Amino acid sequence: MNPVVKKPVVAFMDARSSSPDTSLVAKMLTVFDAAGLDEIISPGDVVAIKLHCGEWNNTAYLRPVYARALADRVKELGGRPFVCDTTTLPYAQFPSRVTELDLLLSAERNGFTSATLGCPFICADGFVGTSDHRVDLPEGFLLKEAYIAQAIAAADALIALTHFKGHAMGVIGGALKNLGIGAQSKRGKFNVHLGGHPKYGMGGSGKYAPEAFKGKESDPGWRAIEESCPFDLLRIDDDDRLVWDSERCTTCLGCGTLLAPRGILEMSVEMFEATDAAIADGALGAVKAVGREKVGFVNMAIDVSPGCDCPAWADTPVVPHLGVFASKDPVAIDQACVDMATAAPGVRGSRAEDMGVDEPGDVKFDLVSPLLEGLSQQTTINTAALIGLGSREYELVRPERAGNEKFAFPPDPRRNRVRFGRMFEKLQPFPYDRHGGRGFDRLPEVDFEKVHPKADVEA
Amino acid sequence: MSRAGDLLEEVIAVTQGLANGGYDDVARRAGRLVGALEGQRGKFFYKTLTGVPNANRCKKAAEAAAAAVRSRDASALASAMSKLEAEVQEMISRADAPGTVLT
Repeated sequence: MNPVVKKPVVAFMDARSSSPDTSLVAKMLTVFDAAGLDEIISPGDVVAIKLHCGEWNNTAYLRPVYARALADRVKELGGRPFVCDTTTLPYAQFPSRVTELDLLLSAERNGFTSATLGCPFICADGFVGTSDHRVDLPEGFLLKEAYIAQAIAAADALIALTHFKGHAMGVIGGALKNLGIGAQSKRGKFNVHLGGHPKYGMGGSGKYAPEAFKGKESDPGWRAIEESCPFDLLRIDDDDRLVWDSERCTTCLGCGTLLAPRGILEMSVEMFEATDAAIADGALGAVKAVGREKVGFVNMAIDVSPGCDCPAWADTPVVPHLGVFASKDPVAIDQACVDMATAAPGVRGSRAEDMGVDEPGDVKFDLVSPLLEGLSQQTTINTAALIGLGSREYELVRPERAGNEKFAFPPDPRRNRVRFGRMFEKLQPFPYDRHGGRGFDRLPEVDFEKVHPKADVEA
Repeated sequence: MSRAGDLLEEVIAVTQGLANGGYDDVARRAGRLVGALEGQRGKFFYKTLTGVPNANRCKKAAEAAAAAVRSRDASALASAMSKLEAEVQEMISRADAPGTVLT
């Protein structure tokens, strides 16, 4: 007889709120405990809380309060938290998180500081992004090694606090991507994006048409093209031809937005798909670096924008807020989010309607998120399941509300009379001594018909 | 779902048809639009999913203009042509403008 295999638990609460204990912050803490994530933190543990701090001017990233509340919970459990993100590839014309200096500036502008978080916010992979820890991945699907941001690899425990949304390259940005890209150092991100790979890297898979460059005279943007490559691999030669050293291309993606509209370079679906699979390998590397029993996942499926938090903007959400998820299994939690997004109606006026996938049951992300057609929200998830990182099968549990008392104002949880009675006696904020005890000068009665919706009110 | 490139061809075809509707001004404006749209062929934008919503909106605007021509509704036609021109302009500016983030 086959042994009964227990499905991993995904704790879930929806996004509706009407009381202190149904606030999304409260729900996040409730599912955290319900999924057993409190068990992974031992007294004295240094705990990395990995999140995406958002690009400059992005507006869909998670509000800092979620990380703060989680950090406070970690402290309650005896842990020593820090919140972190990592440096990025120079993937845009004017990226804002490529170095630690820029990352910290962007994070601070977006609200992530030690003052708001109650613990340090750090760049986990050093000033340039080379501070890392190499992990062997013999079981990897495509990658055989990963470079994990040093501060994450050094931590005793790791909580991936993820804003679940779509992604132009990864199709979805969930727990797997938060670690598969987000927990890699910059060096590790080059690896996951297949930089230098002869078949799947930009150099190997991109369709290059140098003749589409019309010369400096005809293209006033020629200098931007040359300057887009931090490795100096794009040059306009003495004969006014654009020369690309594709063999040394790192797939940093810095040039793509300049070359593609000009027809000079076309990115391939194969490159994107390989990256999506490699994200799962990268996530496995992060889990191995910290230890499988010491990693937990919280997905906040709110503000589910079609694109990532990496662009300097955020589009209208494609589905309504889905809710809050927590699990010890990164595959299960991402699958649960995807399943719920599929079951949800699309938001009218969003990209879900643009692309004709706004009905409940429509697969949303395959069409609303990727740059190229032919990519799937399942690729990273399936790869992760294949390499043993987790299970696509899951048990969705819906914990009870934890009670309003639990979410009393922590600095002073006493009730009002005890907290304010003596203070108000001394400094009375309500003027009982005026207008016969009613306090203020007001009319006894007014005619609300004058301001009702059908009233003829002059502008 | 139609691809952006296919939708672009449909927009071109419908817009070309506007020239034969018996309105000189519309024919002139449609001719200009067709020239601009033909210049978009082969661009990367029309090979991406990003291009689909814009191309779809252009197609709907072109079809609305064609319907106005068929119904000989001059008032509706004037507004439909303006809408079509605006949508085509928007699509072209998105197709030619760098800025899309890939990751």
